[in-house]
Amino acid sequence: MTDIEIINKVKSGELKYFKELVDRYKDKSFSLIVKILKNRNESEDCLQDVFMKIFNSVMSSSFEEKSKFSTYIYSIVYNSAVDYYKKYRKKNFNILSIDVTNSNYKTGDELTSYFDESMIDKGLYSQGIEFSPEKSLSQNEISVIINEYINNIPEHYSVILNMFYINDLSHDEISKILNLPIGTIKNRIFRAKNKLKELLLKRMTAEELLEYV
Amino acid sequence: MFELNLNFLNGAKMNEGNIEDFLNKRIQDSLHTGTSDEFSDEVMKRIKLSLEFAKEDKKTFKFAGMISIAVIAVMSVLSYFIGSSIVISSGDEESSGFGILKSVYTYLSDLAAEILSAIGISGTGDSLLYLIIITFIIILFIAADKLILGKRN
Repeated sequence: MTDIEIINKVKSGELKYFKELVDRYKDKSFSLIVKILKNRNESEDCLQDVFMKIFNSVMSSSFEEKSKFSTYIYSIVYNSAVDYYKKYRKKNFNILSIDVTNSNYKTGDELTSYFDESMIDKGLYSQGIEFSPEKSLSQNEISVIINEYINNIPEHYSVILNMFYINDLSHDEISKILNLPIGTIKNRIFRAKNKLKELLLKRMTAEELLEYV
Repeated sequence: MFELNLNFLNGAKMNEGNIEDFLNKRIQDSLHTGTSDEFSDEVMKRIKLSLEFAKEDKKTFKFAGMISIAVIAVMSVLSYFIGSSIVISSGDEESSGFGILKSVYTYLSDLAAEILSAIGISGTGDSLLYLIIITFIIILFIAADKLILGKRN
């Protein structure tokens, strides 16, 4: 059943179909909110509010079928998470890095300045893995490195990565939701992936990495 | 010779492509976070509750509307009754309860006339008194309305 078919069923009073919509979008939306709020409980509260808003907009027919329903949902999810952040953290959430205003800024600088590679070693250590440059990395070690990297990169990268990889939004759709130039979106995805590749290739050769592909 | 070079380039490109695919897949896995198992049920419960509250609110609003109309009607009837009784009671004012009302009315009317002359406006005390009564009724109505709407929200 398509999203629009579900919406029509809900509008006609068959409420149980809304659960299908919730099940369809809850995890992907939750992933996005967690990248902003960085707290599971707060993210669940915020996501509940999001689904209430979506339900009300479905019932009041304020969703126009001109845009994709998924894009509509994720723009509500993003804006609600940012509002929640501002309300409860009493700070502004800025998808632009503060470094952008600096005259010496080069796109991607913040990845180097924010991300500390010792986090990866800490992550490996907490899993009882001791890294040795002589031996090749195991599948488990690669997972730890990637998870540590993704969990620690600044939110102006992780939000865009989530929208692209999890929410299946195009560069253009992300650019519209975040109100950022499309070039910035492409650049951040490229740099985030490149940095990860760099980190992995520091610890293993391309041939070794290819063994896991 | 050319073919050999192309094969080499194709192989490198393929490896590069495989690494890209591998990274894309692993980034996707790492980014993914799931909600708790009972999340959907919680949302549905909240929606059902909000619909019940909306139904209750509708009933309360209807009831509040009826009460407002009744209060306005009672106030209008009462104003008319008091107004007429003041005029009628001029004869036996000493013996009836209306006598007290009349003296209060006369006092307020005189006070209003004095206020009017003090601020330099010509007119009877009655007109200011009517104005005060109307303002009082409006304030009373707004207060009642806010009380009802406040409860509704």
